Amino acid sequence: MPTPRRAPEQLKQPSTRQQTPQQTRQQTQTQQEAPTLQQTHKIIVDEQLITTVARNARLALTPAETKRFVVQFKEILDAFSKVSKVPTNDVALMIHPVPLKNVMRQDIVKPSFPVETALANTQHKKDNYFKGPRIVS
Amino acid sequence: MADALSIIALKQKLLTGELDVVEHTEMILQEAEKLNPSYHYFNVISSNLARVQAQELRREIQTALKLKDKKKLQVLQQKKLLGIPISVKDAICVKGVESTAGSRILKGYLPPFNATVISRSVNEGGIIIGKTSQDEFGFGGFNVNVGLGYQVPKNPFDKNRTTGGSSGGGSGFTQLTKYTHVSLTESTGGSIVEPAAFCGVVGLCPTYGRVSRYGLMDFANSLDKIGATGKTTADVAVLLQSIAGFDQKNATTADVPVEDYSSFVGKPIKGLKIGVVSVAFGDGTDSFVAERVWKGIKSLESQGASYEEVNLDLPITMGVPTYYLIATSEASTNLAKYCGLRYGKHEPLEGSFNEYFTQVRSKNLGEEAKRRIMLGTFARMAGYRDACYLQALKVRTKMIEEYKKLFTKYDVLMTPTAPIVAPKFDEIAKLTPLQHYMIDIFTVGPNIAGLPHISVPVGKQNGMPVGALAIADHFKESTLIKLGGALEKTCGAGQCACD
Repeated sequence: MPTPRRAPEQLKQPSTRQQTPQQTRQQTQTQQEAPTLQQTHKIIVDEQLITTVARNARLALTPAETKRFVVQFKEILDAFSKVSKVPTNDVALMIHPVPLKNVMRQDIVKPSFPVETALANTQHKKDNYFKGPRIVS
Repeated sequence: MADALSIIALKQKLLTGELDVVEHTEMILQEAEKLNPSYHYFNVISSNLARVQAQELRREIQTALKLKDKKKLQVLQQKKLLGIPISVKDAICVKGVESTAGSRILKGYLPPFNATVISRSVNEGGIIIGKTSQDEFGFGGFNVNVGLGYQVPKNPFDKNRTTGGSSGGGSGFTQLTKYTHVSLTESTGGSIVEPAAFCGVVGLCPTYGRVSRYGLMDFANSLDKIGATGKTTADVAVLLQSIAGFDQKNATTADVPVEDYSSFVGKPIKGLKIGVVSVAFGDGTDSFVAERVWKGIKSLESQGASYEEVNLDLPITMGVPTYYLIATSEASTNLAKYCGLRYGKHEPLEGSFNEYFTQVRSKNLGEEAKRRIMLGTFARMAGYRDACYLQALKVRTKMIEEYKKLFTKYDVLMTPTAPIVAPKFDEIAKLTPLQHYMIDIFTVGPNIAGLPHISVPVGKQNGMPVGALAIADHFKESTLIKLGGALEKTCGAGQCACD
């Protein structure tokens, strides 16, 4: 008989099928050779880390958000760190999933948006330019 | 749902004058207006644009019929989407219609141009009826992470449950409307097929590069794909054919010929080789879901396909972390362009640029958007980049190799689209972000690898639909359309023989 419906919080990674002795050996070797992200980088997820990341991301978090993110990032990074266990020596990076050719066009000037169209969505404009905050303090 | 005409049937009735395109458009607009206060499928219903487009088509059709202008009628006949109402995911730009990707940071933005998929759909006679609800910038699997000030769409079968995400509005309306309709949807990690499965409709995510991304508000450039959602595989095939193909405006579109997808609907599947990813049917998947999808596979076998159980390792075991490391890294840079200066939400010009930028983002982005920007920023930070972002890109290479090896032996791989049926909102509210991310477990693999995939309904569990997911090799959308048509013969379009 089918079991009752699974609650979403019970979602989990299915266990992989029975492995060959070779796979098991390989995995054991991998685990020994490739420590987790936390082990290699000694990441301590605390308010200081979250504040640093937020500053780099140009986000001002409330104290409540910061506290929540500490708890959540611990869980997420702990789970994600297993990616570092995959042996990837001599494996190339895959930036795009399908091969790409560079696309060139002829260097011919074509009409572009009129200034009024380009500025139509902004509230900050002056003399046909976008107006921004000061860049240099 | 079964009462609605197919795209091909509606087109014929419009061309013979049996139905009027303006009246048909008016009916679906009224229906959308009526449903929206309780289901929240649309962020904007573009009634004015739709009426103008319908009236123009009516003039063309009536003139051709009146003059018995065979040449003109032939031109109209060739328009694949003639008079077909199309809803559009909010992240896809429609000229002059507010387009926000479901985020308050873009509130008020009226794009001065059409995305390529919109230009192509309109050129084929499509009528744009509105912008559909989504998780903010696509950041979610349940469509509950809508931007500040937006409302969460509700499942057409049970208002207490999710539509799935992130293309939830498009899938929900496709199921509920009585009229012929297709939806332009978009996937980064499963956002076309997941809501299609939860709402009991067909969703097809094409190969990365098959459809132009020009005019799509990026979530993650190397993962985003615009695709099609419809009541049937046949409708989805027509929409895909209308939008696919190389685009000079998008360097990542592939210059690969577009097949006549519609011609594959109803083709025999004898000899089709299916690899059934057995791990996806065991521990972690609702047994009722597994049972329904197995019945679907057996129905394909009865039509001449053969199957074997196969092992899929990395995409299942490493798919979720790999996907989130890549996707959030790309998102964290992509969203930097929303700085409150040229379009969208503005704040008073005070302080330095960094202070202004920080203020705009902090006040107008929702919590999941902030979390993903933070995760992506972390994954790209000096000291962690090699171990996070670059390692994920290498794992991606290995995943693609694993898929490619399986495709030397099998035409398609199959799993359930999601391990569960659409959950209730109160169940989702209890999930941690990580638990939330796990709903993508079967869909992130093909998205990471840029492989085309389709979700087709295979019956219901206690009234809630179950979707079967089929994945094919790059640019083999036609195989998926053939399979989708075959599944519908016994299980699809809400007519499942298994129920």
